[in-house]
Amino acid sequence: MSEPLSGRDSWLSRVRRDLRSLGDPVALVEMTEVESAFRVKWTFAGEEREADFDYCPGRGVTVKQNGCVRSYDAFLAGEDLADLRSVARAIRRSSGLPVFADPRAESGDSRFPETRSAVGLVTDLLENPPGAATRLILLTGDSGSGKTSVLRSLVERYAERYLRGETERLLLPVNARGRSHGRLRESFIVALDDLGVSLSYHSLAVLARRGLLVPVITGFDELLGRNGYDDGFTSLADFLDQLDGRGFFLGSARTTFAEAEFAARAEELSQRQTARWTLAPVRIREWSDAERSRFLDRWSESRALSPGRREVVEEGLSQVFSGRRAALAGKPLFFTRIADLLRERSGFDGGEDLLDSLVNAVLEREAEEKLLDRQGCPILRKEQLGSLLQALAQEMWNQETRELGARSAREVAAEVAEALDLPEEFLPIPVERLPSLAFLTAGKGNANGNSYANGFGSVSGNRNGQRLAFEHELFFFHFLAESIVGRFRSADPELGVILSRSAMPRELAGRIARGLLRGTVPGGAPEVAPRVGEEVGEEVGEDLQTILDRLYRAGRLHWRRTHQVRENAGALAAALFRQIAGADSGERRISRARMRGLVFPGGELDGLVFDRCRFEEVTLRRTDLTKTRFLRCVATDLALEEPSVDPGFTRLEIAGLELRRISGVSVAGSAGPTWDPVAVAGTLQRCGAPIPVLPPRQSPVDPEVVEWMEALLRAYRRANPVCVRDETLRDLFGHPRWKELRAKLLFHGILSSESHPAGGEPAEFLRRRFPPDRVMAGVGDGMVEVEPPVRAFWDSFRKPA
Amino acid sequence: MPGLALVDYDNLRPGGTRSAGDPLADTALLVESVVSGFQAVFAEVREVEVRFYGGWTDEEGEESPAAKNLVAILPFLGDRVRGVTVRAALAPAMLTFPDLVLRGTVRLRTRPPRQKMVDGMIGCDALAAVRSTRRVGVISDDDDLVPALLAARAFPEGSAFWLRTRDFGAGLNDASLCERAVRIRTLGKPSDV
Repeated sequence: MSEPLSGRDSWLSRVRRDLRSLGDPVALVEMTEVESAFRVKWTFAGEEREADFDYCPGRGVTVKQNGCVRSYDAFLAGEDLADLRSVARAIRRSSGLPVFADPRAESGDSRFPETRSAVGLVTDLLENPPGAATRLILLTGDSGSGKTSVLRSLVERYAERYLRGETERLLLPVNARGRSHGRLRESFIVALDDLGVSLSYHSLAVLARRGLLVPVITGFDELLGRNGYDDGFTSLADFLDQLDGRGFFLGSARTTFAEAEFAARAEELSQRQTARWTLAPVRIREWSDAERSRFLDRWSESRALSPGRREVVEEGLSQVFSGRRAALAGKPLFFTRIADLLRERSGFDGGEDLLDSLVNAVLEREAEEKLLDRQGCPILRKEQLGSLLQALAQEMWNQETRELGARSAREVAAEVAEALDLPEEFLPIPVERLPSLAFLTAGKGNANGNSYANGFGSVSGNRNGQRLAFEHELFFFHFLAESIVGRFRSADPELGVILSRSAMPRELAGRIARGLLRGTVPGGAPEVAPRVGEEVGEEVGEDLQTILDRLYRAGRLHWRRTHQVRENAGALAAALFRQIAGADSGERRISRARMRGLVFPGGELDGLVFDRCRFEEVTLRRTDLTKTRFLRCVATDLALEEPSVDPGFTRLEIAGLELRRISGVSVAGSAGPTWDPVAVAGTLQRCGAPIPVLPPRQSPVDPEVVEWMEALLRAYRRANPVCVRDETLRDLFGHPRWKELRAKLLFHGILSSESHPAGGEPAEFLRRRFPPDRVMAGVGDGMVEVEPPVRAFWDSFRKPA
Repeated sequence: MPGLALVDYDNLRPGGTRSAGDPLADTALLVESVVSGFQAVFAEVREVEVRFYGGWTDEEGEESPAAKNLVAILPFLGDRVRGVTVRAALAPAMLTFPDLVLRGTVRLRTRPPRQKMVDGMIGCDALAAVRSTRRVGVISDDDDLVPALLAARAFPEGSAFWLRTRDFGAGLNDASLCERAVRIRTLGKPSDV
């Protein structure tokens, strides 16, 4: 499956390491030479084992054990070691994908240009050899777009195929949201424990490196938060490092921001680590009429719906998804849940906010029809049930996980009962019943077969006990937003701690912003009209400025997670602005607002005009400003990191903006960011930025070289290190000046060269040693202070004055 | 503000050196005692991060068998103890240099294997955390940490205490520490000193 191990010493060392990982943790691995082969002894499950390993150049390793000769991969996967068949069986036992229609998707891989079935596309990417770098397939789509269902479908298909002997590869579902701050290693341990298999987490890297097992990570973006010492990304990077540039990794993320963020963060570690990866983005498209129709066919059949009843449901769906709610029909979550609701209760019209309305309708049904005592009377009112769900969501957020242990759930339920002053005989709702409540599900298998917690479930027999999760992250966001809005309003002094938990998803920030601006929690009627300067010239409202000031103070915690707090504060501020801008195409003006200590992580600020605003210690990181205007603004320490701009629209009239605080800029419609200070300055000036005109270069570098360098640096957004034999980079490495460029890049230490087998042959890989903005900062002769090697590299191209 | 427990894991050896007991149950018991200690010192604490220090990496930078064993039980320790949210983690690196996993915190080539740098890591982390106004508990029986606990007192904005198995008075410097307001508590005992 993977490339054969090369070189006798290399594979011997590899076998030793693999057996140490797959055998007992303190197993003794003995190797003795026997004729042309090596006899290896190790212990597994407490028993001593022995096998003869024979290496044949070009063919790899064969293993003779108990008279049976197998490939090395078959040996690793066999029942004496990883026993992947039992893992496949466990995955099959835990399966139970609800009715679903596979959405369409498109890939950034030029070999698969057409838009097609998401499951089919990812399968093709998994079946094509990844070359000499670990292929990270990243499935992106908004919350509710069906990513998790696609992954579940893939996991189940591969398990079935494995058991039928059609593939040697197995996909292992791992929920990164199940552990604090995406501690990947713990997520692996829990995933294996949930499956009830004896495979240890130490063996995962070995199996993934050989391509026998593909970790499938839901909540990949949770690993990208910047959380200081328990940063989830470090655990991801460590795992990638162990793969030695082989195998696959499959993850899901909500936004394409995760792609750039992953690449940037991986670059930060690139100099210290040896990981090699290529990024294969797959973007899920919204459901079209075809998928909706396919879903309805399967759904009606599975629920034995009569044609007449189906017609009623379809009519209801048409009504709900009309007008400004029409776009939400493309999100499978909404479409499927509302179909379920309409089957039980007609008359649901979608209301002002579809998620609020859906939640309210389901809560009402739950309280009135399902949560009843023996006399048939409701146990809880709708609001009380909502409070319980809020408290559970808040506890999950506090624990930095999306699953609660039984003990936590029980304690939270008891606290809610006490707070609501409910008589003892009514409460607590037995913890065992919590997973059967609307919006919740068990983290391990339950009788309904609906056994998935934010993606994947488990079978009984684990050590982790019953866990509780929200059925979908949008429901989690809904209840958590209500809770955070409440704490925001009560001026909770721990706001900084709340914002430090993990990277705040856009949807969550949006719901909090909506609640804050409405003067009430989401779903309720507006109590206070937002005072945000809606009219041209009006000053920013007190409400908005108060919120911005509170966000600033939250970020002033002298604590290890200050960066995370500021980033979440920025995400929340951006969501507030987007909420103000609204969905219409008109412009909204934010006047005289003062923003301090915020980091805006990605996203867009469409339709907003910041007028006479102040920015102090603010960072805009890969933020889309193509439909944003800053007029008469003032800044101190404003950093722009690769913002997207449209010189035909974007205005950056910001006094105090300094070129040294700007790293790269993307022009709408271009191939990617540019970091050349002259080009950056030129672009920003065209956007009205009052930055000084740079003096003409005394000894300029050939523009062709500058352009080539920028294209090279952009290539690192898709792979690191880059392979000179990469077909998609033919223009770069087939350039007439490539030899000269390579020699200078290596001589000055801008890149370093490595050799790894690719397609059976050794190939050269180039690892970057400096960030792109630092490399390109040197292109100007003395304009900006740069590292000596960078200066020397560019000087070698300068023409005499 | 969450509390931070810096646990000298090998020094305390949950369940004893040659315990035939369940490492998960023993470690869970230790965590419960740590939480109890925090509650006695900081009544309002609602959250404690527990960092386990020990010989987690060998001379080659490989994870030690002890680390592997502890990592395997971490996810099952329980996320809420006595009403306090608990997050437990291995500490192979210092708080201030989280991406630098120190090599050789256990020297497996020596017989018997020996720990190195662990007390230093705990002491430095205690100071770093106290400086950033954290509520810190140092959980160890090792007197090597006495200087760090004293130094932590130099940062009035933070708050640190010592949680150990020995009773107050059993340490050579207990009286001096007490005079300088270093709080000492005994694991599993209700009285605070």
